[in-house]
Amino acid sequence: MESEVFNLNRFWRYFKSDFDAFISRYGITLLVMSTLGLSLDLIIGLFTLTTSGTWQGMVGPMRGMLFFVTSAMVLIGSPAKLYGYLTDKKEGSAFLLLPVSTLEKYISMILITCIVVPLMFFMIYFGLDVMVCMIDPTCGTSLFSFIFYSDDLNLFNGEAAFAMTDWSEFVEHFKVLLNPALYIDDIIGTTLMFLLGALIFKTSKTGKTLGCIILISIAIQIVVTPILAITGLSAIRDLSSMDLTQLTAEQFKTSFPFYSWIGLHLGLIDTLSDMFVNCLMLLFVWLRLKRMKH
Amino acid sequence: MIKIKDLAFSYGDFVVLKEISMKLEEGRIYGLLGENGVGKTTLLTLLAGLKKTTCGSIDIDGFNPFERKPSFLSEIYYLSDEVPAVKMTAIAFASDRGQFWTNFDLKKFREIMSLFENDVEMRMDRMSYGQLKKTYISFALACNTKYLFMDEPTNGLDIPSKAQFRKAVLKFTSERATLLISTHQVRDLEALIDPIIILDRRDVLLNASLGEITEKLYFDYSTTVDPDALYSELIPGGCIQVLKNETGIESKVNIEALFNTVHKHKELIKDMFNNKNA
Repeated sequence: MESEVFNLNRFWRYFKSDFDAFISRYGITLLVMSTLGLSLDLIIGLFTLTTSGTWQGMVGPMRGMLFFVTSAMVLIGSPAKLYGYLTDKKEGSAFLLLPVSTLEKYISMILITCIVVPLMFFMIYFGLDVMVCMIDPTCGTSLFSFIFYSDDLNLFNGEAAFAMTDWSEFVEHFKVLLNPALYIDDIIGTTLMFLLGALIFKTSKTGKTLGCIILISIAIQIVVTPILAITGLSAIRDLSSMDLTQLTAEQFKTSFPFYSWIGLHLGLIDTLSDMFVNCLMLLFVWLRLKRMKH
Repeated sequence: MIKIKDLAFSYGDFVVLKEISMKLEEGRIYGLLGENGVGKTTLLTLLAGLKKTTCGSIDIDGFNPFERKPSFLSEIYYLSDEVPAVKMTAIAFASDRGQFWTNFDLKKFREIMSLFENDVEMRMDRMSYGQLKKTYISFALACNTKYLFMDEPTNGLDIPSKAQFRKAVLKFTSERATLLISTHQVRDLEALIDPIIILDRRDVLLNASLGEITEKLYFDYSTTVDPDALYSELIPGGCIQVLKNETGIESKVNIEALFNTVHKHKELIKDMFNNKNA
């Protein structure tokens, strides 16, 4: 007898069916979004060729900006496109009554929104960008090389940002924040938030989710800022009485142990806080799916 | 077997169903009748597990529908009044979704589609409402489930399709299957449904087979109205009246007249049939 909770064979059949539905619902949009860089590069190149007689594709900052915008559009828009139909009585009922366990439906949904869609998008986008840069000499560094291997991003390299001495330990930890791998959990977190919004709101799913995120952020700021201000008042007072140009890392560590601990564990704090938010989102999506009614 | 006990359901403060109890036996085609808003669709969605009961319980072969366990879901199919027009051909839809129902039969799906004169290669988002409904009816019957809940299945069907629907249900439903069909179009299903359940907002007024109904009620088609008639209505060429069957003579049940009789004499009918609710 098949398990009521999770059966690998049934899950695999369902995942294939869900993947086909993803291609049917979002395949073309995903293709357009992931080839947007290439398309614009070609348009701009052709335009410069006809006007000035030389081929000049998109310049670096514009390519970076376009990549950022399209990534954001895919990450926040895809969950509603893929699973927004669940709040619709007709289609949502059919989904709920498909003889597959809720856990299997949930895992498939998470895999597609958090892994498959971003992975396909980034692979196609980066792949095409690398290809363009191999063919077009005016392209410069590919986005992939720029993000993963460029020293340009190492903002804290070389001389210390402040005229302080012996801050190399802190600088090394700040550099952790520039590691692209650190943003994988942010990508997952973003899609999960918008997936939850897609499962809760019946209309204007992406807009309402965005609105909720802004409101929650404001609420958190209102609560957290005064607490930090009150607890950090003496530290700020002490800091303002010091000659910052002469402040060494050791002095900072001794005088402000809490803040220096934060400075030395930025990567860990970022990962843990993202993991906490992601686990919370995963739980909320699960509960929403489990208790969904029509 | 479906056992419903003290079932209640409300949307916020608005009570839809209250203290509903009944048992549905296997291998029967139940007709679920009731006025608008008495909760027929709500009852079907509760049975399918799309809603959670506010009070009371539903037991379908030991399953609580709202838990939506795969082995339960593969034994039921709920055909809603409104069906989605998916962007795929009927045959692709049936192959894709059908694989999750243990007893789904693609050959049977083709046969029923052919009976309905529906093209299996046609995209469902390009079908008319009637064609779409027939595709879903074909799919529902091809799933070979033990329980099939249909909400207004003949809505949107043209006259020949209604006859084809009756034929398909009789031909392609297995003996073990229990069908619960909610409808206002009683004439469409007169030859099909037996037993009949008449639902009131806070009660099951009647849950009886046609045999039991004719045993206790006599449906008289004549030109003169009997003063003892529980209900009478003028029809072309005379009148139909419903009387207590005191002679034991069997008659042909007129479901519309039955429905009106039940609504006119709720308590009397409940006492007469001593409902098999609890």
